[in-house]
Amino acid sequence: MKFLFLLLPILLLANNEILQKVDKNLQPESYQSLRKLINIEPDGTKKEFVLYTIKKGSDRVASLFLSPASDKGRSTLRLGDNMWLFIPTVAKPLRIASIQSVTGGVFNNSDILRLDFSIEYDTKKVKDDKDIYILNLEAKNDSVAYKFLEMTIDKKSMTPLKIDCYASKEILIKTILYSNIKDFGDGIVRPSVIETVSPLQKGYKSVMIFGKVSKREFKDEIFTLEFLPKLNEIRE
Amino acid sequence: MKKWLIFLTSSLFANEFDFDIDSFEKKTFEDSGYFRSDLTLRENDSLINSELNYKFNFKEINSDISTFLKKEESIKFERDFIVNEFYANFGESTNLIIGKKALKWGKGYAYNPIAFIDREKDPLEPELYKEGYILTNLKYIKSYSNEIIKNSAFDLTIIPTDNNLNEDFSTKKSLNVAMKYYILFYDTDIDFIFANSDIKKYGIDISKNIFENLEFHLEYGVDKYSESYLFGLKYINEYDLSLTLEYYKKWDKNKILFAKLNQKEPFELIYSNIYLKYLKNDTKNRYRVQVGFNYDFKNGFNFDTYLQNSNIEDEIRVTLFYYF
Repeated sequence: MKFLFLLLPILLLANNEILQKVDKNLQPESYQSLRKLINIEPDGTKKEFVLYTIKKGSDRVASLFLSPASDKGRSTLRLGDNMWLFIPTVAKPLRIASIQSVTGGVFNNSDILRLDFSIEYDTKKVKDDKDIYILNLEAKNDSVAYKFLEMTIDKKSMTPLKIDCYASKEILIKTILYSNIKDFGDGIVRPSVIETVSPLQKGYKSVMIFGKVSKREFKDEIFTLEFLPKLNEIRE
Repeated sequence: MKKWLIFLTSSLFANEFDFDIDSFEKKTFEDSGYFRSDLTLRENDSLINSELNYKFNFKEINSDISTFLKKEESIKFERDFIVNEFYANFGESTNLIIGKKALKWGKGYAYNPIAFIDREKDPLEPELYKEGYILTNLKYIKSYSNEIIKNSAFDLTIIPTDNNLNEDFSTKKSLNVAMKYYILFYDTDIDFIFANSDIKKYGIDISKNIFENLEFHLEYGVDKYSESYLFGLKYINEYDLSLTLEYYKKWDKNKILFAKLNQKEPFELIYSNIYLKYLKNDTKNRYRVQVGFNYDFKNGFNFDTYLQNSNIEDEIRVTLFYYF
């Protein structure tokens, strides 16, 4: 029994390694991407957003809206638990919460400005089931948008197939499905389509499509509040 | 289970969502803008006001221009043309701006005591204030790897003034100087500001998320003769109901309470908002309250309407935006 107790931290560490591997496959250390977000209403009508997104390290993400015209020039920054939104007409960055959504629809800010899962969650349980792993994850602190996650991982690609997001152990907030694994070049092979639905928003669906993902190095100073209004200048 | 998931997701997405990334690659010349037209009905008159706003970016050059056409009852058409911004921008972490630019310093939504080098905005429509001053701004940004101060930025701004240049800032022939030092200190945004124009002014602003859904901000400015301050908070709940509450004392000693309550997507009507704005001048005992609704269409159109009650004059306004 004592032996098992001593072994527990080692097992948890190994479990977190699975999550870190998933993070590494989903998001390179430093990269830029072009994403399209589509919000689909119950009657089938759609609203689309296109975002240029950059990331560095495990906790720095920034996004710039390229479309639609009414949102063009808006930008968002995430540094760990801090999130800001810059609206050109207001012209000063405003602090925003992870539960809000800058695009409306089912994706919230923490989905759009996604950090590495292993930064926000600890692996509590791993189920090894033929060609998949099922990970039970728990948030490291209260500022994280979802308290618990159940992540189904494809062993072959080591990327998620499905994530159920819970507010508590019984309350499901949303389900996120990953699909269409695509080779973006430079060793980046990851799902290119992410769909989410929520029992709280019946009939609504949001989809995120990755059109381009490429490795790129950035200065730390790019990920600051003062640089946020100038994010368009570093687009290639 | 894996096969089931792959079947489900691939059947949902096969060729359903195309993404033409070439049309979103950066171009040398990029432009955008909007057309806004509003109709205001008051007890004794009515007003039609239209604005065509055009922005472009060509290499280091940025511009934001507005033309206005206004018609009040019994008054002829009035035209106006404003270059809100026109400036050249060089560099990344060390950045130089030369030209006309609105810097918009401060954390307050309705008012900014420390916006020493900005024009005053309308607290109920702060987003309509866009015009800057002709200036030179040098910014230096630095990031740190420690947890105490994550990054900092220093701004040095020079605004030249005389009878024909930035004359609404000051008519005195002078090189006015303003400095700002920003730090992200223990997850708190802090700015220290100093300006030397006709008089020396000092200021500080602070913004922090006390809880995940509650942000607190304050601003304080002082000079030899007077002071100005603002306390504010912004709260949002899980139903996207947000409250912005600010109490401030202006440089002219008027004390004002501002509140904005906004419900995003009420009754599951997505891309819409209903809002209540309240502005009370305690010093002059005046108030304005607006109840409004806006809807963002998916084709670039945006519709906004409000009903305003005040102890001066009531009004109804209908506004239509088209973004291009």
